[in-house]
Amino acid sequence: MALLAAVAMFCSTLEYLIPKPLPFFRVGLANLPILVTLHVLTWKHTLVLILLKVVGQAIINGTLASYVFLFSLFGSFASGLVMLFVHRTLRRRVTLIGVSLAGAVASNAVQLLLSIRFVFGAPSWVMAPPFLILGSVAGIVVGIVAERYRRRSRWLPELAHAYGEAG
Amino acid sequence: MRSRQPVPWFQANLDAATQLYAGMALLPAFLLQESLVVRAAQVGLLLLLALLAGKRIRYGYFAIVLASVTVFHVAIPSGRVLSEFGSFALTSGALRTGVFKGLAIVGMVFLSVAAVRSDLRIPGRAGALVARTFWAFEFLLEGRRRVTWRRPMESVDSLLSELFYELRGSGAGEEGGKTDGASPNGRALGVSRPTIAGWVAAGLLVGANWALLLV
Repeated sequence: MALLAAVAMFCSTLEYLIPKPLPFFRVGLANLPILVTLHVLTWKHTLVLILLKVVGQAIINGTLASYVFLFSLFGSFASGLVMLFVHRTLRRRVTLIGVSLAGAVASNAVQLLLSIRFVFGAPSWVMAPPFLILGSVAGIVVGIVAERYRRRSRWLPELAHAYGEAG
Repeated sequence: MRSRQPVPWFQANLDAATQLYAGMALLPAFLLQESLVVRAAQVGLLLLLALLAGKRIRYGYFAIVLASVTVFHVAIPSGRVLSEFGSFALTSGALRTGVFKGLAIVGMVFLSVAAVRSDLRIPGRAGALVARTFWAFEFLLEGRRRVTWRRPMESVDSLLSELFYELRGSGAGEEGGKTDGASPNGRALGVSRPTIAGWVAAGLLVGANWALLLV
């Protein structure tokens, strides 16, 4: 868990370096450790990892004491729950690309609704199409990376084996 | 970035947990800072702390990080136009944001490097998880140069595999783990007890950084 949380923090650091064309927009690199371990961790441990990821992201971005943190928290948990649901129910029919896309749409939709309701008001509906399109593209790209990594990784099977042994 | 001889000042005057707590207490003050000038001064201070913690700093690398983050952000115009080069406009807002974020990244790395020691042990399961996470994060920061663009997946996989076995084998930061003055990869470290000078230095550093929020 510490390793995966550290990877999420490391990905957040990389993501912090990427300029954001839209407010609240994130590529979602920090979702990579969650995606590639969906088949390894229990749903409870996945949710703990999401919490660690959100806190790590907030520390990296310096948003721990701001409303952005709450947006990220709600967006990440919405995304995580949708990814868990899609992965568990459609495991054999959907790759990590589809799982990541579903998670990205859920996260962006929740954050968009929260920003419209609590921060920017109705005019920010203008932002919705580019926000959702960019978020979906980013979700697909992250999904492709996650799927390729899961197929090629030699370390993930070792992690799954150790995790199985532990409990 | 770890040194061997002599024992760094902080290691001689503070225990690893207090050093981490001081770093964690200082972090929000650094991140909440909105003044570019003050943040730049803080980064200088954090660099000094990293050096006092006995870590070796690659200045060229951090200069490149700062420059590249700034260049990326300058590409998205914002604020007053400072200069124009053909169709490209250099704007004050974009330049400030880039430098500000670049300094944040560099400062956080300095802080992480200064605050986290390999002999860190925190009681309790949550403490162990935090300690192991920070230790693993530092491991990744140190190991990032081994990730190559030619074989990104394989090099990342190799790095994670190594980290996995380091964590499994050592119980780094874990309650009851085999630390006894040894780092997670077995290197001997001086076991330190906090001194009054260490406490005063840590208190002053944290207090001064929070006070800078009032500037």
